[in-house]
Formats: sequence, structure tokens, C-alpha cells
Amino acid sequence: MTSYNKCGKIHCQAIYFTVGDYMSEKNFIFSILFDYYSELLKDSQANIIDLYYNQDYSLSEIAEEMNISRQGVHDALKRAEKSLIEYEDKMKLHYKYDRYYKSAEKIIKLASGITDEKYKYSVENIQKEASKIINEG
Amino acid sequence: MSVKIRLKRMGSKKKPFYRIVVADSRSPRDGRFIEEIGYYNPVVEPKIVKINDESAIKWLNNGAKPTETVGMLFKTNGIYEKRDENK
Repeated sequence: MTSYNKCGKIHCQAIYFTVGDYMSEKNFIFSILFDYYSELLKDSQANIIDLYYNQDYSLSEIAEEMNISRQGVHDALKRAEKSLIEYEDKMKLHYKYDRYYKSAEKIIKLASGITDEKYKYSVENIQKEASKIINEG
Repeated sequence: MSVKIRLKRMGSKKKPFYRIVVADSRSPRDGRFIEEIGYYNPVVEPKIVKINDESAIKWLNNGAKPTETVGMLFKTNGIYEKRDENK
């Protein structure tokens, strides 16, 4: 399956995502960036991103809901996407989380290699702490 | 009133997970929908798509309109082919 990837080349480089084989990579990327940076966007922009990427509304549906033109929604959406990418480029919150998350998973796996009964308690604690990194990010 | 088939984001922060739902196009954002016909989990490797073929085809035949993203999922999972076979 070839990738159906609507996001431009620059976007994908900037966001440190491996592009998989399904369609909604772009939705997925902005959905996640929005989790990190939604508070930094203007309310109207945040609303548009949420409707478009999390609720799967079309531009014209958003336009109707917000009482602005379709073109207006489109422009605001592009601006908001650009902002999200800029935030990620500067703060790299997702990039960092992704790295910590992978390391934490590795720690859990490595620890499970210690099979000696007398370290059982320590192994469990190590894995518990590593899980915290994954879950709380 | 038109009926749409769209993705609806669920899941916690940074772990998106989508339901494929049938909803009135005017259904407000409070999340009411008519029927859930599948889900899509892009976080795990490999990504998981689960679609209730029967319901999907039933709704398509009833004139429900999938969004672009749902249409793509239907296409990659052979929903349209199955529909055409049954015709």
C-alpha cells in the first residue's frame, strides 16, 4: 500500500513522524500536535482544528457552524497548521516525548530479561517507573 | 437532513483513536451519533482498522455520505468492492 500523504514534504520533515501506510497520517499528525499546543492557538483557530481534525468536519460544514466563509475557514486552518508546526519545530515536545517513550519501552523490555527471583521486586519497580514515563509523558 | 459517516476522535492525549460513526450532518458537537460502525487505531503498529462491513454497506446504500478520510478507509478495506459484489 502506497502512502496517501497529503502533508507537504516540509511538514513531514519538521514533525519527525514516520509516515505509515494509511490515509489519515496528516489528520493524525495535526491531531497529536493539537494535543500539545492547543492552548497556544487563538480560540477560533483551536476550534477549527478541533472540528477539522478531531471531528472530521468538512470546510463547508465548519463554515456553516462558525458563520464564516469557506475560504475564511480554509485560511484560518492553514494558519493554525503552520503555527502548530512552528511550535513543534521550536519546542519539539512531541519529538522528545516520542524518544522518551521509546527508551522507556526499551527499559521495560530489558528489565524483563532479569529473571533472577531475588531481583523480582526491583524489576517490577523499574517497570512501574518506566510505565509512568509512557503514560504521563 | 443528510447523514454522514465520519471519524470521531476518542482516546487520550497523544494517543488518538477514532470511531467510525454514522451521524446526522447537523448533529451538534456533543458527540451524539446514530451508530458506530467501526474504529481506527493509528497509534499501534500495524495500524488497526475494523469496519462492520454489513452496516457500512447498509448505510452507503441508504445514501450516507462518507467523509474523505472515511472514504479512504473504506477504499483500502475493500468496502466498496464488497458493496458492488452484492448488488
